[in-house]
Amino acid sequence: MIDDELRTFLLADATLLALLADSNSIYPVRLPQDALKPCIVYSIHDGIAKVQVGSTADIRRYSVTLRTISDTYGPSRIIGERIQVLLNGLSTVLTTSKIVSANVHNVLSDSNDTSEYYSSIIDTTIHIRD
Amino acid sequence: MRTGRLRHDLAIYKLSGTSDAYGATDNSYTLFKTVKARLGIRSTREGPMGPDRVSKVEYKISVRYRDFIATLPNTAEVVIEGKRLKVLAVTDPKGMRRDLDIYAEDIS
Repeated sequence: MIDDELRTFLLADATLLALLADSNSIYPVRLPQDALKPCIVYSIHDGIAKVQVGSTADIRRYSVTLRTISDTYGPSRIIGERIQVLLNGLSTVLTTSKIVSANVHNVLSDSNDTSEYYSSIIDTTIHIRD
Repeated sequence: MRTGRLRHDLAIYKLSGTSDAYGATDNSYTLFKTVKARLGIRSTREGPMGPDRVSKVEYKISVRYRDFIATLPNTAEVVIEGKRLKVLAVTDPKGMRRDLDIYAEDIS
């Protein structure tokens, strides 16, 4: 699974890290109470290995949703833009996972009136070869 | 506050606050400090909640003034006389930095 590897990859980018509150500001699934903003919350779907025709290698297709969260609108969008630059067209080896393709296919600006934050929701598909 | 009234041991626990490799916050509690305290009951109430009746006791725990107690976060928990309680508030009753009152209630 790519959860921790993807998080480490994003935090290793100095430009993105400078936009976040601190070096821990990427959280899984839900925003922790009292988390410093700006930050990112990610959720991972699928990732089931599928055999490819004409190949002995499995491909895992992950749907990754990243939500940037900040108190003001601008940073949520700027962080979202940086995530797009990092992930769209990505083909590299993370710690152990080999990404053969990644593409960002949806970006949505949103807000949360209860918790009073702005967010940018980024949907990405990442293919990993085992 | 007379020293002889601080008859109980109060153990203060705080959230670990560490993150794992996935970025998930560790929500476990670790022992922070142990101090002498005086335990009192501030209020009790009982009432229906759905099909059950539930009771809740609010305690007032008095301690000597210490900076680390005055700045306790509202996520802190304390253990006194075998009871684990959630900290509601910490106040300096006379504003003289001599004593502190910790208001805590049962964890349900």
